[in-house]
Amino acid sequence: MNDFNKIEEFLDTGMSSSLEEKTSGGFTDKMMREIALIQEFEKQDKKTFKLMNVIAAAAVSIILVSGILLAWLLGSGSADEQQEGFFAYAKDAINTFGYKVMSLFGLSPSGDVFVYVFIAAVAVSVFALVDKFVIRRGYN
Amino acid sequence: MTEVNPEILERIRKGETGLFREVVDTYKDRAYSLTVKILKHREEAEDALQDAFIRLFRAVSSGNYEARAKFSTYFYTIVYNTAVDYYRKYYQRAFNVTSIEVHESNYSDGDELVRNFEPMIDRNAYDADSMSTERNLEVAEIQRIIRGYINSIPQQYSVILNMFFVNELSHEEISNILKLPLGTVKNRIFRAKEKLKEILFREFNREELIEYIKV
Repeated sequence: MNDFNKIEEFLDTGMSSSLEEKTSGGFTDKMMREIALIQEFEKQDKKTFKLMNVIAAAAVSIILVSGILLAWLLGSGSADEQQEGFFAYAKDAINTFGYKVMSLFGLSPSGDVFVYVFIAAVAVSVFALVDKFVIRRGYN
Repeated sequence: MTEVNPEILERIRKGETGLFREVVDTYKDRAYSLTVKILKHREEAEDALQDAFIRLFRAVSSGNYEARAKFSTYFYTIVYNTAVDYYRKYYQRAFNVTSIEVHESNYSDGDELVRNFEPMIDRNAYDADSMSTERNLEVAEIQRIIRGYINSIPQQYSVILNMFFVNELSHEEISNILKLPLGTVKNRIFRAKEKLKEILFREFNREELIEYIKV
């Protein structure tokens, strides 16, 4: 090895050893404890996530069943029948409001279209809330 | 170059998480050297490294790491990115590995490497009675100069030098991780070494230096 190479090698070794640092004692043990904790949390998260899925599925089912039931209740009576109670009042109010708004644009839809649109909007909103507060929280 | 056996990574992925200890033991000090160079703060550097290992563990155990990539490059990319994130949080500014601030009007090329460095050799401190003792002291002094020089150079150099000499990454790998042109990486390593030689040759003549490093 010539002198030039000797100096180069010495400098490389010197630079390398000068750059090296050592972690504090017990770093690996601390690290492995952290890893064990992460695994434990992940296990717990999986359990919570499964439970959240059941809750979310139940909530969505309730929404769908309620929607279908409400639509059936509103649509079951004939036009001639006298409907009473909260549902009849709500149906009339929604339809009246809807017709008034649409008439502003020169449109006149027939039937209980606004009631169905309203039910769909409520269902979508409730689902969005469930999605935001239950399903997505389950992932994190 | 020390590389973790791919079989170990595969076994970790399959659930033998205790084997991750081997990965930590293999890389912790060399990776810590890098996070210290970036953060210039030992506790923060250790926290960043711990976070980097956790990211790595998640990637390996979930199968996100593909053995096609060279493991050390993959790992040091995680370490670098994590340390840069910590730097941003700790110093409230972005880490800049690209450009070096130069304020002096009489700046000349390479000055940034020795701006904070003064060798301060005290030859009178050596006992000249014993030649071997003197030689050992001189070698120790040379190493002290190198250490002082390394500790004083800007991060834009020390990060690259650490990646090259300690993390044993190639010029191309460093260029990819830092997103710097290959020429810049090569140039900084070359300039850092040249400046160190210049400092040493100012303090010791060539023959003297060769004589000392023969030990």
